[in-house]
Amino acid sequence: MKTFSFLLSIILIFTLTGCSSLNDYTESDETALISALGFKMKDKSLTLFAETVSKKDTDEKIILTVSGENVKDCITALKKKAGLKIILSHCGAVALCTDMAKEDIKEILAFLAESYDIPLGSYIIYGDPESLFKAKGLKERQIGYEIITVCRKTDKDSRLFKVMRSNNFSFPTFTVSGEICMLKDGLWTVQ
Amino acid sequence: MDGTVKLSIKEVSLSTLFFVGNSIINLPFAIHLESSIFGFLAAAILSLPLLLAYNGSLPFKNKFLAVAFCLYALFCGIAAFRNFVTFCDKIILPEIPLFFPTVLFLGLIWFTLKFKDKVLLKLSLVLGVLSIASVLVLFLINLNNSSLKLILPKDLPTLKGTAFQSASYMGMSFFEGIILLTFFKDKSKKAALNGFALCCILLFVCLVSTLALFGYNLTAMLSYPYAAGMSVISFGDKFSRMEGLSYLLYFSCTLIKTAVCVKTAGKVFAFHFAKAKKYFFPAVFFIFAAVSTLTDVFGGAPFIYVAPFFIIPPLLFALISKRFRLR
Repeated sequence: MKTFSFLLSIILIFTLTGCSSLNDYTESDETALISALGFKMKDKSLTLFAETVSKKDTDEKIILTVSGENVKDCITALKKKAGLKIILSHCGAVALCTDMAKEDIKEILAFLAESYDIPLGSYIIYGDPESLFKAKGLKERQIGYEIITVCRKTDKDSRLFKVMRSNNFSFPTFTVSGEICMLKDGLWTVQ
Repeated sequence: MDGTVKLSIKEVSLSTLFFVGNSIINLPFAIHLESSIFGFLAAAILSLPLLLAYNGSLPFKNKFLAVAFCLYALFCGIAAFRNFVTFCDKIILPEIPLFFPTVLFLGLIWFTLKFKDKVLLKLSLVLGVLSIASVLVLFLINLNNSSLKLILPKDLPTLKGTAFQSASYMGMSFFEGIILLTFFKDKSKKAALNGFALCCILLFVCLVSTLALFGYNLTAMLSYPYAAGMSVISFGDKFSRMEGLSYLLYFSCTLIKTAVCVKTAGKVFAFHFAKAKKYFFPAVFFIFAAVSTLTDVFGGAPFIYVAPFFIIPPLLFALISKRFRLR
């Protein structure tokens, strides 16, 4: 009885501290792991691009695209469109299109910072998500993770929490050159 | 206590976890955040006389006081319990009904209450050492991301802000120490006060590390500031989002606090109402389950409205203690 009680308590502790949870048991086919998010203004509406992690190396990369009036609408639409359980906690980078106004960028970043799902350690970069997410990385298959690898080597730290606390919207700029995602020299700052 | 337990590190550990309690989950509150450091220090200083004045055996002297104390202890217990269950419901187990984390956590409390006090003390020692180690190690690891400049507020702390922030620490943590003193029946007051001092150090480290990491503006935007602080820690390329370690602290402190609240209320009730004592725990568990699943407790209410329920009873108990002593 003592052993049973002990084992039962251990299972309960693990369940309540996130080591194992009753709801997280989902087949990998039922989930979409997001490795990068991108935002672009199109015809006065916000478009969200989400790069998903491929299940196998041979699989074609899926990029989900949704539009909405604001970030919240876009995230809600993304969850609906995917038809899968969206996991944002592995998002490595957020790409912002350079034509966005500072106020829009502020709004997007504030929403991401408040949302517990999206890591505060995600790297914020400038670049066109539409073309970036279709490109290839030199080291990583996922552009979100390629951006992390590249950004860790730069002097500038553009992780979400550092951007939000300093209120300095100066990020590394990425571009596509010959199908390869590359870091552009210098930083681009919103005026 | 059983009467045989002497002042020990286990009691200090239990006291520390009890004092930290659920306050670590939500505090500092976003309102008047610039005054949080001053508020915290003021709360720590102002709480000490109350803890010194309170007589731990007071609820055992009078039936009316016993009932009032039981209600207060259960109120604090359910507040801590629901706070962690809400956190579980939002973050750890978001897609299953609230009833399940409620039952799981109640199951664990039942498990801790089944055994004698010394089992709870041993459990506190294990959880306490792990929790203190995790806070200190994660604080040191996060130093390279932190900036001391961010701790300096742009504006001077206001009296109103300091009062609000200190009320939040007193109400949700320090003043509830009277339950712990009753649990110890004043025999281990020294251990409780040592635990209080350790709790102050731990909470201060958590507060300063969070503010030095995020600054005031970003901290105010976060629902769970300490866990968010842990989430930016990464070890190399493979290990990131270490907030799981903060869940251990949340869990340990809330479990110990709730268990001590319920156990102390049970002891006081059993002392005065021996015939009805067998109904006490089943009734309490039923009430906890019902209140947690059917109501939001006071999740949506601003803290200022619920603060009197946390702050006034301990003040009255401390005043009555002084009167009893004079007699």
